Amino acid sequence: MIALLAVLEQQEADFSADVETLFEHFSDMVYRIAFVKTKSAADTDDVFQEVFLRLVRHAHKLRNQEHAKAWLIRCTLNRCNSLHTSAWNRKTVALEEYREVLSGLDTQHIELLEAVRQLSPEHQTVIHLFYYEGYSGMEIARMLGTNENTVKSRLRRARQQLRAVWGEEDELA
Amino acid sequence: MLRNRYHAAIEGVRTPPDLKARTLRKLRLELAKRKSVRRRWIAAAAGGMAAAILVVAGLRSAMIAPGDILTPLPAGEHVQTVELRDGALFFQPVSPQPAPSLQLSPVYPIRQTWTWERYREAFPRSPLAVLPAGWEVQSSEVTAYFTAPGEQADAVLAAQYLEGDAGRLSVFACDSPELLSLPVDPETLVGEVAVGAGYAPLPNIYYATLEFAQETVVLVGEGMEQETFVSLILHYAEEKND
Repeated sequence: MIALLAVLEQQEADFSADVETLFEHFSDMVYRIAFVKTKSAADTDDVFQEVFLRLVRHAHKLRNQEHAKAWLIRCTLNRCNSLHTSAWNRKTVALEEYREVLSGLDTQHIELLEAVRQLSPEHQTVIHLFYYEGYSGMEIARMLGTNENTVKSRLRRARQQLRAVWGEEDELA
Repeated sequence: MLRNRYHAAIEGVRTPPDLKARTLRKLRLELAKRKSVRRRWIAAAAGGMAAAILVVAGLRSAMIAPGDILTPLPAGEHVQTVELRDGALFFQPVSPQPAPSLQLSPVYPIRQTWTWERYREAFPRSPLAVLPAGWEVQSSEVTAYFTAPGEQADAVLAAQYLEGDAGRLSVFACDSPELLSLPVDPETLVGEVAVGAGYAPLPNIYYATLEFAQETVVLVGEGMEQETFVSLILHYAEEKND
């Protein structure tokens, strides 16, 4: 019985270490998604904290780091989407709130981020997952529970809107 | 390209250190809470598992040689309560209250193995009479305990070992609650039946205690899903509520 308890205790220690490793590894990823998709710094912080606190309850179901990454993205998107449904959160706040976060970026980059943050939530998601996380249209479709054509058309429309700022096309992988 | 520009822009966005530190503190607190809850749960489950194993081991060892006289009791002493401990029956003698029946033999109790027909005759409404759907009896045993030969049985203990696609179930029923070690105390009511249930994760054993007015039933489920075990508890509880 003592051996059994020792094994369980060790499992618990390993679990805590795994959660902290995931936090270290994916904290910027979660923050960036929340940054793009929320309307204020306070919301970004809330989503960030909530996602990792949820991770404690769900980490035992995650099979490997890739699975954990997909779960964290999905969970962050869900938390952000639930904020979008609230009337209090429909107005986008200017990036000044993120002064500290954006202090190392030049004006062009800040303008691009501002433009992405002005897109609709669906378009923000596909732009970020496609251009930054490097997921393919099919992978994004699987993650969002939609079909690949929908993802492609969202990407196309999002690019059209961004073209006003950047005036260029980008190919869909 | 948009990809490169967006990549460079968003790469510059990093979690603010104070938010990261604050979240890590909360995360560690949550992990500590989880650990503490799991510790309590593991301790309870381990206790329950030990009790369940004791019941199974105890009952099986008590049934090895039907007819044996298990516990010596000096003539002239009276039995007040009897209980199963570590696989043996323990009697608490109370003196000086002589019981005439006990003077007939120097050692008690006497154990007899009954047939299922004899059991059903004695307990026509036993919950063991109706099997849950999809389960078959693999083996069964009935033992009656007497404090004096030829008298009415003081306690009757019946065990059924069932097999089904969903796992293996052992059911112990006894009309004398003192004789049956309970793996878990009843803590809720299903109709008029008091029910308690527990789970030991590593050997994957579910256990439950059901107490009726005159009878106690212990269920031990091995290799089954929680839903299956819950349906079995409800089956036995409903049999008694009917």
